[in-house]
Amino acid sequence: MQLSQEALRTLEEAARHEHFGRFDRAERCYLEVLEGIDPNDRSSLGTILNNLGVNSTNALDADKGIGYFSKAIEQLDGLKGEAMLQNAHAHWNIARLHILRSNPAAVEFGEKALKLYKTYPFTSQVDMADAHICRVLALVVAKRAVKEKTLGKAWKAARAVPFKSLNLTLATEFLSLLLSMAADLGGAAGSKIRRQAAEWAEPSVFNSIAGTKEERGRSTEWRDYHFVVVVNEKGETTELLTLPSSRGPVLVGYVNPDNFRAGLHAAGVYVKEYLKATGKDAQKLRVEGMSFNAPSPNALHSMLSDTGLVHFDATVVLEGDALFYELFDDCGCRRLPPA
Amino acid sequence: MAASQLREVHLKTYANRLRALDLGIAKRLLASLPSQLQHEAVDGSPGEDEGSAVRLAGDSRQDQESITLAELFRTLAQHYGYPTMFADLTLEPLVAAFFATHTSTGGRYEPIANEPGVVYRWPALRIGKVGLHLLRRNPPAHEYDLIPALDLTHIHSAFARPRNQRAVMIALAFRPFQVNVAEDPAGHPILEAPTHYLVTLDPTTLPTCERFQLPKGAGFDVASIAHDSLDALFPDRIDLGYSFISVAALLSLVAIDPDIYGSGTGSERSTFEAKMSAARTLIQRECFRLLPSFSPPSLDMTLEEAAMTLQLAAAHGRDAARLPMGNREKREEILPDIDRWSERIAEIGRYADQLPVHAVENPQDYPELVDFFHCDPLYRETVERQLKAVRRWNKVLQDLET
Repeated sequence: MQLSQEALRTLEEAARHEHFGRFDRAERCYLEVLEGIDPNDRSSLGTILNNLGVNSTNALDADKGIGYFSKAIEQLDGLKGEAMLQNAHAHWNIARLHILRSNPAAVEFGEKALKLYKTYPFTSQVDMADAHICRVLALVVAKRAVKEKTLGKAWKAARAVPFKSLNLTLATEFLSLLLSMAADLGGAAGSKIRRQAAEWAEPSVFNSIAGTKEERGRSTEWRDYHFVVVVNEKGETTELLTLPSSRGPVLVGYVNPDNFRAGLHAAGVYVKEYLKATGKDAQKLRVEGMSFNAPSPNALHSMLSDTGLVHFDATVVLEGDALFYELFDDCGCRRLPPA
Repeated sequence: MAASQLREVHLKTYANRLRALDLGIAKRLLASLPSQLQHEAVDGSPGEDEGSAVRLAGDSRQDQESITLAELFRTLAQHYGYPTMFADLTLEPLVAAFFATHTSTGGRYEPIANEPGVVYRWPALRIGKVGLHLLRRNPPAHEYDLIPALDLTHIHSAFARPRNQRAVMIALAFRPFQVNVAEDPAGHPILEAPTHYLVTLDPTTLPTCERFQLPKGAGFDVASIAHDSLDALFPDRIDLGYSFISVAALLSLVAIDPDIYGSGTGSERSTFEAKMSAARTLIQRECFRLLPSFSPPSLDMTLEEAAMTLQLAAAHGRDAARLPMGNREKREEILPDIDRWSERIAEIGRYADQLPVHAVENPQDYPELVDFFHCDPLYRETVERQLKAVRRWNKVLQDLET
């Protein structure tokens, strides 16, 4: 990639904006760099388009993100060297977004991403594990059978790297799937997988999934809903994604970091209204595993450092935090006592 | 032993006008090289350092006089163009004759037509496979008569330039290894040995020095004997040492180790680690391109990220050098050097993603690599030319010996 010093500095600025959740400004910087790139330099064009896609995805504009990733693929397809890795990233990113939208098209992109990652000699173990997990979840979303061998490969690749290094959303879903299959398998083999998963996964995530599963069937409370409140600069409160999860659909609200408390309150109201609108009474809402899907871990960490919340990679798990109970109580939701 | 490059440019190095190669950085980068090349104990005792340096220098025996890692890095730095207190000599008269009869302009060596070339020769005592003593007086009567010199002819073939030039390094300043950075880009005074404490010598004035004048135009005859010697003497495209020292040199100018010079803030450390990570990535990619047995490692970042991180580090280094503090003169002297090394790094970054050299040589043996990697025609042509030149050069030297 041949970029001028000015372009490099603009890219650095874009990364800084993105880090702090200023996605609009980051996008402008990336577009400025994009304009200065030689149209024949497809590798550079594809790489910057990939960055734009990631930025849009972080800004929760999935459609725009898919658009950028698709343009990146147009540029990168057929290229060799590092461009091959960028092409794999673009495919993986699209697959991930399709999984979050339960779109069966995830399979095609997931398969291609895995193939490209395998082909490229310098693929990191983390990227490879993410790709394997992505393929498995894509098959689940498309309601296609997941062969034991496919799941085994994904589990082997995932265990080779720390849980926290993976894409948290997909890794959590994969863990949930794995535990379901371990439960179905039963016996010593099932216990072994469960034990290995407990050693591998973050304890809070593992306990959340395993605990929820154990309680299932004994209650019809709203505890099976997993709420994700997203912090962004717009402070919008509209639904973005619902993720078919073993813990129920994931609802996404938005919180403006400039007014965190008010934003969170609005998100709580939004969640409650959503539940009512879909015919579900939220009077017995239990706040369990409230999560923040933040622009970036560091940015969120610095924004929320005074709230005393637990920092957890890209997601901040707020389970048991008094602020949330209080806010959701304000929304008219009554929480159940902890299990 | 013959002097190859006792020219004005080397005399300037006495002034210690630039900071020395950062040995801590070079040592950390060494760990990026494959196990055959890297030393076994990064933070080992001086004895372990010596053993590893000898290993890198091509000698696995521990019981011989050897060189330390610090000496090795600085001799390599001198050979790849980073100013040090060493001067380049050679054990090969043809190499000496080449440099004595050629002039370099803009990186190109041309025979000198109108001036005679001069080759100097000194007697030397071998004290080990690596260690030599140049003699002020023959026979030597006192320790003072022994001038330390280092024979790099057995260095690993991945460091092609010193090996092909049959290089010997001579220390021309008393306390040369203690000289450290004059002032880093952040303005910290870290000069260990002020230049006026150094004792320098001009080896051409020694009583043991013999002078041989070559006739005008001899450069054309030398070029004829040596064929495409330039590609063999400077095989930069297939030379891991070139990449290694280039990266270490740039970081020496633009990276500040927070443990030694910094204030210890988190951002300072993360910035330094990002630069080191980028450097490691680039070196490991070069290992993959240049060493047939090197397995692809799991890298910290992509090649593009690494190249961009290093270019940004250079840009920030330039900014720091322009700040109105410290010794302005020294800072402005650093600027062209940052430019020079960052240009080299940009060039290396472009080639690091190309087809590995062994696959360029034998594409039928590595069809999968041919499918994965770029192979620009200019790159292929340069690599093939340099490989051929190195083979021919070794044969010429072998024929001359026999």
